[in-house]
Amino acid sequence: MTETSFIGKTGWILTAILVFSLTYTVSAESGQYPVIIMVKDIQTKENLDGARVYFDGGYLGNTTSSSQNGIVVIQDVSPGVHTVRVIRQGYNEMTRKFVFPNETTVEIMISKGSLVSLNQEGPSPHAINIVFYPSSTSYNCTDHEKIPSPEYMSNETLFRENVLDIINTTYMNLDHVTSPADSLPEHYQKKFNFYYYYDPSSPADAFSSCPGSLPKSYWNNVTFSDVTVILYPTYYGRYANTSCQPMGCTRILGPGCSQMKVPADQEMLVTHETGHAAFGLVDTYCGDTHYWQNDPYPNVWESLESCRADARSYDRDPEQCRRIESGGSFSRNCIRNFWHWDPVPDIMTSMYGRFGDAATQRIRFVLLKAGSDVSSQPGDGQP
Amino acid sequence: MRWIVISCLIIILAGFFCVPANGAQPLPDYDKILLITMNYNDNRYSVSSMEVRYGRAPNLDIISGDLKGAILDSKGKELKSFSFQEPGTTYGDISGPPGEDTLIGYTETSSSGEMTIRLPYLPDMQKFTLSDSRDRFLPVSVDLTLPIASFCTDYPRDPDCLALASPSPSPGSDAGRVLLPAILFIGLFIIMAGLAVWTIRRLSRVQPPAQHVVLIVDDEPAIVNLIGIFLSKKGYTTLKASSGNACLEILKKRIPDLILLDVRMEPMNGWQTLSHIKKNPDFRTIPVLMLTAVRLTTETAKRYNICIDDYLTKPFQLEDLSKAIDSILARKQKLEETLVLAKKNGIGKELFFEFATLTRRISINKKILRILDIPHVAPVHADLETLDDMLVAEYIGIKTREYEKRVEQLRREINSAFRKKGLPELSW
Repeated sequence: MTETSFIGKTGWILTAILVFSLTYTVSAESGQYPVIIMVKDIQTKENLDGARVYFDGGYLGNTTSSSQNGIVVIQDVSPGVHTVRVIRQGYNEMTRKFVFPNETTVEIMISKGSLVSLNQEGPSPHAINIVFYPSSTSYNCTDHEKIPSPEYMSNETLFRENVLDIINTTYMNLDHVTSPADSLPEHYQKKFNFYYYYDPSSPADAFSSCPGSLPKSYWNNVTFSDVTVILYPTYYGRYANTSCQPMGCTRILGPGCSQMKVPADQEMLVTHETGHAAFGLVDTYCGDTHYWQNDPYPNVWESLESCRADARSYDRDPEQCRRIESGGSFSRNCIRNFWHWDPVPDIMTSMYGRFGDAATQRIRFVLLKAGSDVSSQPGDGQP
Repeated sequence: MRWIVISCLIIILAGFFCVPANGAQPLPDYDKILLITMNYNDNRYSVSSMEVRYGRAPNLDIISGDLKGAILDSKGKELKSFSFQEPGTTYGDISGPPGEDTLIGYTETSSSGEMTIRLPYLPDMQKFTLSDSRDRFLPVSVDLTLPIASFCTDYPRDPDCLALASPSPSPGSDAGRVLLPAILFIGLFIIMAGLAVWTIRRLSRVQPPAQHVVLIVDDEPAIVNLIGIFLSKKGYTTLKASSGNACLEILKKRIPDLILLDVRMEPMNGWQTLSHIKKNPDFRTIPVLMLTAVRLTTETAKRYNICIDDYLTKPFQLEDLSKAIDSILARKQKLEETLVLAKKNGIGKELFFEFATLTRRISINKKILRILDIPHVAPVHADLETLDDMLVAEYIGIKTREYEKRVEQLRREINSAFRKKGLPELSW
């Protein structure tokens, strides 16, 4: 090929590209406008920078990365329904649909978030997520009635302090209430992510049922909670001869999701309910509760044989396996076809003592699983 | 020559691939969950709804129980499994009376209820099963195709949806061998197309759609920026001022073709700024389009209707703004062109100016009357304010009719002069 023919052919190719490019440019320009996304604070109406904007599910940009504060411009939007999702630290995530070209400016108002992380170094992946929620009700066992308890509704600082006290005296102190025979994983404290959710306009009701109730909006905003703790300041009166609403309660809501209620001034009860809610432990007192063999590493067995077999496997005295039966005067004639091994005083029996070897073994197992991402899948539990 | 061209292309392409990645951005958050809501009744489960949404799933590994959940892929392979206790299992505890050591149990049994399962979204997840490990009973097996497809309809640009939309490469194929030539071709194409457009624009001297300069005056930076972006896209050059004073300062340096003036500003509001503009002989001919979130009052209409060229009420669609600007600038251009023609043919400039000004006044007055929306007949118990409004409206109406009569008279005079010179008659 001669030099002239090469240049000639190149010229033809260039011309074709030119024609195509021009046609494309003209057609793209006609009738196409940008869509402007404005992110504002719902209270102050001020534009917000630092918000991550997603268009139709794809990351579009950050409002700070644009020279226009609080604004992101989407170019070449096709006609139809589109979705904008906005995420900003400290605010509730917001998603809005709009129709183009009916709307060329989309204003997204976002509200301050109610979820506060209490981990100084930020949440750890795969850790156990524990969220505290304040209740506006309490209970008087002497009068057998639910009573208003507005302390937390007007005082976030008090609620926060009570939450921090509970975290420090119970969750951060587990090694003092577990058996030294089976030590907890090193730095087990990092296996928890703590949060509190504070929205005084939508309080929890600790005494609407055994575990209490939470507003539906909470479950929409906090999808990742493993244990939600409804906290109320104190329980009034003491159980006598007639039935009262329970002081603490745990309910299993589904896989990886449980809810418990506790008074802020009963740290051993918090530890007991955490035994149910976070570690899957079963009550070892005899009474009106739910028994089952909580494999693996149970603290309650369905038969004496299985209790003894496990005891032998884990180098414990098999003769210490005993049936769950009569405790105090209220359960004198109580007997259940379940067995336990842990010695008294056992936290799963009473409001004092510690977790025995069996319970500690299960706690260790859960903490090891919580800290490991081996069994988890990509995206699972990532903050 | 050939080698020079090829070498240049290689250098350009190398440069194209050497552009540093934008590494300062935070990682996008695409975590998603699958929410399955079930009703249960005596160990029977039925799915009531399924939805994929953005969010994080709880840690499924920490709790165990007799029920086993599993997420399967399209080939039936287990992607993830977990176990949990029957929903509704409740442990209630009360501290015993004084002297008692143990807790007292409290149960609240309910064999029916609703359970929401929050599962992490996994690529290629297609089925969810729920079974009871005690009797191997499989109460639930659901296809997840529909909720995933529904999610991807709303979020087609989500990476997981894009992955679903594009066929996965066949096993063993070397993606790089296919991708590299494609990337090279696209890079080359972009460069060539850019060069082509640039060359054509240079050769044909195609200018942007408008060289008009628009001064945007608003104390809300977001609005200024928003309008600025929009007008830039439309080909206008924009000047920006955040106050009335800043507007007057800019005018001393550069005369725009149009001013977009917000009414509600501090300390000098839009109307006061307008007064200053119209008092200055250097600025008074600049068309002004008022933008306001405040409803036009009769008093303002009476005082300022002779000064403004149009009036837009916030919130307005950008298209409305575009139409208003186009209309004002088209009118201005037509006026200038016709004026040149009139001057060439010896038609008085003053006559023509009067015609143009009154035509504009009629148009604006009619619009103001529409905005004020004042009844033609006073209600039986009309208050003073309503009566005052009606008087102002009547005044504007009378003036408009006067203008219309005068415009018709001027049009006849100008058209007569045009006809004598063999020019076409006024079309506006």
